Amino acid sequence: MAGFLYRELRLSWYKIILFMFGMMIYPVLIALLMRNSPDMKDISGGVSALVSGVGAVMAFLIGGTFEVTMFKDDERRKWTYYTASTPDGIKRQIGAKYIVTLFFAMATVTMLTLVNSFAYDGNHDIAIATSLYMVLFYVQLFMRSLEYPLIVRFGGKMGNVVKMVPIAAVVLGGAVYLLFGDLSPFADMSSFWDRLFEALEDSETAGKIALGTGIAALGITVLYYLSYRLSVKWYLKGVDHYAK
Amino acid sequence: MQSKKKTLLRIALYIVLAYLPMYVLGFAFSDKEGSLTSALAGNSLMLFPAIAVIITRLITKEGFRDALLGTGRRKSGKYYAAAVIFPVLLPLVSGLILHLFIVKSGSIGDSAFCDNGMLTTAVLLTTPATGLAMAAHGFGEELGWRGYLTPKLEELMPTPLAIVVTGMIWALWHGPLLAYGYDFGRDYDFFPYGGFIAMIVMCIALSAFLTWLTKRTDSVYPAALCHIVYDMTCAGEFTMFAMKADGTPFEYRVSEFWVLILSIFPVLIVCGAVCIMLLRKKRISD
Repeated sequence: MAGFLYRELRLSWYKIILFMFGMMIYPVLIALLMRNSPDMKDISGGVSALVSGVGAVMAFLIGGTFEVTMFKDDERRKWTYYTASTPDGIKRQIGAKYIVTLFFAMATVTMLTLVNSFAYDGNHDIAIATSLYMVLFYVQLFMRSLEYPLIVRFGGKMGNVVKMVPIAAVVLGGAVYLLFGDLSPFADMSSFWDRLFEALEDSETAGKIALGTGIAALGITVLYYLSYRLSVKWYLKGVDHYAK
Repeated sequence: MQSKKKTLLRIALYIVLAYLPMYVLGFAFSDKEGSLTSALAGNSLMLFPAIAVIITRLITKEGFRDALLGTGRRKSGKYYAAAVIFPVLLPLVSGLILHLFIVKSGSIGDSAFCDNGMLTTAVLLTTPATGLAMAAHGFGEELGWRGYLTPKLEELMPTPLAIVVTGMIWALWHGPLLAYGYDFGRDYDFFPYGGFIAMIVMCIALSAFLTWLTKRTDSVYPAALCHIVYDMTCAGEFTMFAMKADGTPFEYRVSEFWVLILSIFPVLIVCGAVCIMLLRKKRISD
């Protein structure tokens, strides 16, 4: 496994560095803004966590792009057959990619925490958003858990199309809800966030959310492992779908 | 002889590089209460041993071949599980000891841990989950202490002694924080020396368990995971035992300094001793 990990880092080191810089642009800009600007007086507490969250979402989205390209870069028949011919080659090849993804997500959380701390040092009214980063970390893993087996099974191009099907279904479901569902919670958008933060301050609600997060995190960790097993199983089936 | 001198020089270089940022930031940003005034400095401290290892290996041209960066031997899964289960279970046993022997009035049923099942389950689940997300911080320390210092010391002395020396160096690395009451507070007679001694004992015991994990897997990742989850459970789970449901602390038979020592240390020391014995046994059988 160490050899495949080394190969992954050796081949992608410049991408890793570029993506690390790229994905931190938004969080750093937001941190600089929140840290010093006198115009940000109203940005404090929960609202500041939301603003930091926007930067964090951008960071995870950009980081996600790297993680997906890492899989697509290896879509060559000769390489696939060579890996399959080595002892435990498929497991190691796929495992290395899942581990690099995990490490990359961990590094993202660490860097976001440092950037958030940097902002907090300048302005103690803003929130420490570590819990939010933890949630985004698991959302990231959840997305990759679904995406990787599809990329492995159907190849990069086709896998993306297949991935779009459930996303389109969710968007369609959302549209149907917006047309026919109960929209009363969103009726007064000016007080929506205030009501949300008020609800979060209730210990019962906070406990329920924490429990839900804990169960989801555990489920996603298991799902991530199962996704790896599925990718190993499907690895050779995806060869016919490679573009080269 | 030449090789021993080289190893000593490498160890010295690593220690200087690991201690320097800790002592500079620790004193520069100290709030004189055992914590730091800068969140950025506080959150980056754990990363410095790893940075020190990288610089040391580059300067000495050792390379990273023996840096234990692989995910481990075959069937290492159980050690990864142990790395998460041990720090989650430790506060449970410590909480029991706390309520059996140290709490003066009130029962374990009055503690925050037993009061709200939903919140307790949430804490038990989210602590390892957060640990996994924040594992890079644990990796920051473990790459240095277990991934570099202990193996280097083993070239000069037997494994148990290497574990003890690593534990002492690791504990003293926390010096700028300990000097002002980190972890053990300031409310005891022989402050701050008692805190230093307590930290040395804790670090030696923990070092034994973390070294055992590292040696069994040939990887620093289980130790990194265990380290960060341990930091979180001690702050989260154990505090829930030490407080009543309304958030007020229990009345103890001893001072808070001894509360921590008497409740957490027995389990840690037993585990540490068992690990040292296991590592010795393995060495003899080798």
